[in-house]
Amino acid sequence: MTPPRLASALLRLFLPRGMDGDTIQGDLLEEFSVRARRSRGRAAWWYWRVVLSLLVRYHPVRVVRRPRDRQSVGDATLQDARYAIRTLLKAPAFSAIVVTTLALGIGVNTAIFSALNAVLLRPLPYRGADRLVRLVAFNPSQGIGSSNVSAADFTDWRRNARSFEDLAAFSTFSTTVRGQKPDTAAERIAGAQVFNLFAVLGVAPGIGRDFRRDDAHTGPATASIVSHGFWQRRFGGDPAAVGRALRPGSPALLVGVMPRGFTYPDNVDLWIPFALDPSADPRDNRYLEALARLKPGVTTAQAQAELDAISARLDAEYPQSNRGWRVRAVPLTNYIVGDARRTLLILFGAVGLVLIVACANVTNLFLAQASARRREIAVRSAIGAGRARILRQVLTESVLLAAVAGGLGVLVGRWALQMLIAIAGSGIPRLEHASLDSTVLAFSAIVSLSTGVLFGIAPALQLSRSSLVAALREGTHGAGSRSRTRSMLVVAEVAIAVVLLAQAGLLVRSFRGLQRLDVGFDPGHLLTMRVSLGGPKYRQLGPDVAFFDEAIRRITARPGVQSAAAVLSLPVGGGGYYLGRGFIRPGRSHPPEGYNAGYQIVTHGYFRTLGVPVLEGRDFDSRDAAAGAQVAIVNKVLAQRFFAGENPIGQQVLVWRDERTPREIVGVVGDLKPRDLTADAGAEIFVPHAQSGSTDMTLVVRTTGAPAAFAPQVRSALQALDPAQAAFDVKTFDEIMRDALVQQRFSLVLFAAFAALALVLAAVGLYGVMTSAVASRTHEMGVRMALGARPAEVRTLVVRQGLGLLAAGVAIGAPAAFAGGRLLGKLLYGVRAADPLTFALVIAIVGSATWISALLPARRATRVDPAAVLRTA
Amino acid sequence: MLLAVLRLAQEDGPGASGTAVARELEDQAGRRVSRGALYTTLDRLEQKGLLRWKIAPGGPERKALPRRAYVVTARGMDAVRASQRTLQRMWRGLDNVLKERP
Repeated sequence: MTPPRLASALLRLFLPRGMDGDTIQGDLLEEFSVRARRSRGRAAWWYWRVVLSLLVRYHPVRVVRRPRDRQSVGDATLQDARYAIRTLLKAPAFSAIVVTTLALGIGVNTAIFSALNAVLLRPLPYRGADRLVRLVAFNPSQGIGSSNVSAADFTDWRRNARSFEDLAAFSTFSTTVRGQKPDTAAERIAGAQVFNLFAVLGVAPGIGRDFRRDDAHTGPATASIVSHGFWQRRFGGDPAAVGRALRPGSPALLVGVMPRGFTYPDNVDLWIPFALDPSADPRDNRYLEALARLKPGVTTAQAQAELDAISARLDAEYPQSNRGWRVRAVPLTNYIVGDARRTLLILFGAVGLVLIVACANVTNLFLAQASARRREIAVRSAIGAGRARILRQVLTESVLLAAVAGGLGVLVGRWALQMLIAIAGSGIPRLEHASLDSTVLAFSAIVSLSTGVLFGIAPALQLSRSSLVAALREGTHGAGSRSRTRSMLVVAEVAIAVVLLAQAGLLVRSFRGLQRLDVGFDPGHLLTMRVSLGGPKYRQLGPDVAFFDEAIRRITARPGVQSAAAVLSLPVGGGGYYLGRGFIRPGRSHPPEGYNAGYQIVTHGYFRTLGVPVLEGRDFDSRDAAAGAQVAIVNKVLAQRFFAGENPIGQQVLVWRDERTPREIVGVVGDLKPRDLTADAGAEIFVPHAQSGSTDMTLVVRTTGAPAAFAPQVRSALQALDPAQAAFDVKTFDEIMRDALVQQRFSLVLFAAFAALALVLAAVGLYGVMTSAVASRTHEMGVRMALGARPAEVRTLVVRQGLGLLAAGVAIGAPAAFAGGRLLGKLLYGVRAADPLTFALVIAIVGSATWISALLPARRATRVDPAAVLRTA
Repeated sequence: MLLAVLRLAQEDGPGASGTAVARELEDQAGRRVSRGALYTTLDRLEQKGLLRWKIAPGGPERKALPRRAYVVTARGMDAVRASQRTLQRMWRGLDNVLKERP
């Protein structure tokens, strides 16, 4: 049994060296072990107390007894600190409450700041990361907010723009890597075809070399670079792997390994060179993502102006493909962080408010304690302490407490940060790298010290100002200005609690709304998994269709499976092709906003499996084979937008991917939610898999029991069909829905926690104020009761005072909450910032908390014995 | 304090440890002594030559750290006796005043 290590270390630091110190240490050890046999916790507590008391005694710098007027600042501070430690240890309950309150406040601030630091402040790990911008195409006239870019446009920008040092382009893909040996499992990895990427980012491979110009050609890749993680997993970190084939029999050689941690873009494990050829693809084939490095000294705005000019020129030169198309330069950090910026800043504001409430509470406690200490301070000033000296003494105490709270707060923060990362999942980019680094610790230290000064200054001023004579006369009346300050603090606390609770309430309401949102189908009892057929066998249309048809037939035959189908990409969670020209109506003029539509490939049975209603016409069925009549199904939005006043059924359209063969619209189905749950469904067009093959599909299986339990069965069915193919991204639809709401859940959980913390603190503060108000009015209560006031009337008197504070707090808090609700902006869905129900609920909650914290002191007031009061008067 | 050391030094054999002195004061006088105050007082008594201590080896329960074994010096004994005499003189004649009423 060893005593607390930190305490022992402190002890060794301060005790005199040699026999004197050793014997004392020995005594403590011995007694600790005796006490620890009874209770470990109490022994540790005892040990700490003793160590602190010895610390005061054996502080290495003895205060040299000198004439008072020559006391140096250092000595005085030391003396203050020793005196403060003694005072605080004398009131352990008070100190503990102050430290706990502040530690919670500082802890949540530390946690949120470390998130903010990791996500927003810390630069990306690339050379001169502040000069990197993403180039995002968009077309306001077609309602396209962001899009990839075409190789031809990219080449023109690269040739003409003078703002950039250089530009890079890439496109991502995913591929299955089978093991070197037969027993190693196939692994699904993300890859990217890159042009100039590493040079623009300023990152070179850690082993081997970057791609050379001659690596990039149109044939199968002959050079590849892998991530550090992949190199460790697949090649056991063998440096000799560089120069060998990437996989057995592959023409691609491994030429380099990126440094540890580099996985741009999107956790990629494999990079292959991309041959940029502007003439190979039409100008409206926008499939590349673009990145650029600004020249030193060039601002994003200057680059944007130049890009605007180039876009306008391309618009005029190629109206067919570039009408209305523009490009936006977005700083890379902003692009990666996206919506999380607002969420984090709002949360940072929220924890700031929590800290203010904590400070207000501690100020209140100090003020309450100040009445008890007036005599002590008066004695000190009677024997010659100046006002500044007393001010400093009291401030030393508060800063000391804040420092201890800061230390504890960092521990709270570390724990809270772990929770934060766990709640956020993948919802907040870069958050997983958050840690309590030196920046965060410096922030916590500054916050702790400033809170120390903040909550210390009011009591310190008041104490140093108090009249000597009045205090020594031991007056209990006339604490007017102090109780006014305290009431104001409580009003502020109530107001802040109202603000935070209202935001939390709004978030709860919108979250519940999102959970109950009609996504257009029944997401329960659905298992999904992606299958991406690899190998030469599936290169042509036919085998892929046959594979999925057979897989679906076998899966459906399993007991417990109601139906199964496959789709190119799922609603809600999946991506898909959202095209500016999803289809054309032959013989009609092109509408100005374009035939903007999402493109989906589905097997027949898809709508039935998901539970999407067929509103008009028919579902796909076995008639819609490759050789049969070419058909398509559209959703309700498309039918209403492009066939207003007409019957879409039987209309002929030319659909993207094969704009030569017309398709007949045979059905209209209900709308499905896109990736962003808060957005409305867009126009979508569906074609049968048999008529538009795809090797990359997502299986959906509707089960009677818990869907996750069917995953092994479905996997084994696929394995039996073709052992070389692997299923990945296995998820139930409930999981997909949860993932889709991860940011909302993150802000909701945190806001609710902060609001609850603020409410509890405010209630405690109110209780404190009411208790001391009752104490200072004991005399009055006694007189009132002696004159015949009933207990209920006295109680009402006290509660009314509490409710007055509540009313003032709500009057300030409600408008502030309304303003705060508007800040939440996109985080709210389907609920207005001034939602009356939320506000009514919040006021009810704060009201009942107030009522309870006023009622307890009120009951005490009624127990006053009038006789006793009158006797002391 | 000296009395506590005396009481312990008789029973304990060679000398009283600091811990034992603190416990004795708590048990007999019913006063809690903070460690800071305890060692300060013991040091002062030693400086006045009323107490002295020798080093006794420590057992495993104190990680072999040495122990101070306090004994009262001859001067200490004189001081105790003198204080006893003073007290006795002061008590004289107060029996009637101090007698507890039944």
